[in-house]
Amino acid sequence: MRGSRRDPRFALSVPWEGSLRIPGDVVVERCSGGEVWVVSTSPAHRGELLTLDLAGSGPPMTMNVRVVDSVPVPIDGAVRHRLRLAIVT
Amino acid sequence: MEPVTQSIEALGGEVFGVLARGIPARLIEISRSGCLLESSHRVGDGIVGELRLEVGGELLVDDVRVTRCVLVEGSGSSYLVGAEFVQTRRPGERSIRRAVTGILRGLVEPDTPLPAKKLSKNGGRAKAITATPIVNSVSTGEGVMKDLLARFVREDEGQDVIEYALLAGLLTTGVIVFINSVGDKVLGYFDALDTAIPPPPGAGAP
Repeated sequence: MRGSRRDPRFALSVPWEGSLRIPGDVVVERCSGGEVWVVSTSPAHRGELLTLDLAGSGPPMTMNVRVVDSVPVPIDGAVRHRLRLAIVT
Repeated sequence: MEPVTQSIEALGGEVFGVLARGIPARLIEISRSGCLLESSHRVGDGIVGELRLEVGGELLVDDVRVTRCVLVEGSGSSYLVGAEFVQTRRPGERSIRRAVTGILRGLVEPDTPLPAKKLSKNGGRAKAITATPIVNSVSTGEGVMKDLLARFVREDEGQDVIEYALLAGLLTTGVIVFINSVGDKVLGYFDALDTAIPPPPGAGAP
């Protein structure tokens, strides 16, 4: 009978460092003065550094942003979060 | 910053985006199908993300799905995050899955040993293995044969079929041995019987 695990595991005595990048969908409400307001399904911590990838009718763009504010808002009967993001780069 | 704002406005009417947060994580266990991470952040079950690892100056990347996240007791805010690799695309040159395959095949440099221990399938006692940084992950004939041999030893599916085949072979061998040993005796018996029976009267010359 086979074990509960499919494959043999390897424990690293010197762990590999890295990061887990978790994406979430947002809709851009407006932008002005180096800040972007987006509506997200999940909140964010103030001061948190995030990466924002944007796509529209033009060419897509990527930028680093810092969370300035995160406020829960009811939209279409569901709780969403309006994030105010300051563009870092 | 205004040019960036103008660029966003230039994207057109409704603009959608992806907001990604990077959670620092350390990979402590790995297999072909998944990995175990240590993180100071809690991650929800089922979340799909991109795992980026810095290994020997190279960035390895793969998509993973979080299967469990448990708080390490007494650690404060240290979490163990179990994740499985999302097999939605072929592993590329910088794939973590490919790196694991390289370790298993022994495509390694002898200079800097990669400290790794092989665990038994049920997570029991650890057994040390020799592994080193990955040189490349190109398949070699030797590697493929090693994999096949390892799979042949490890896999136990089709056990019933093998048992039936062995049973059929044993029965066939038994029947052949029995017929060979008894056949001559039976033939001799019928010959003796034929000789012992006298011919019927008038069965001689026409």
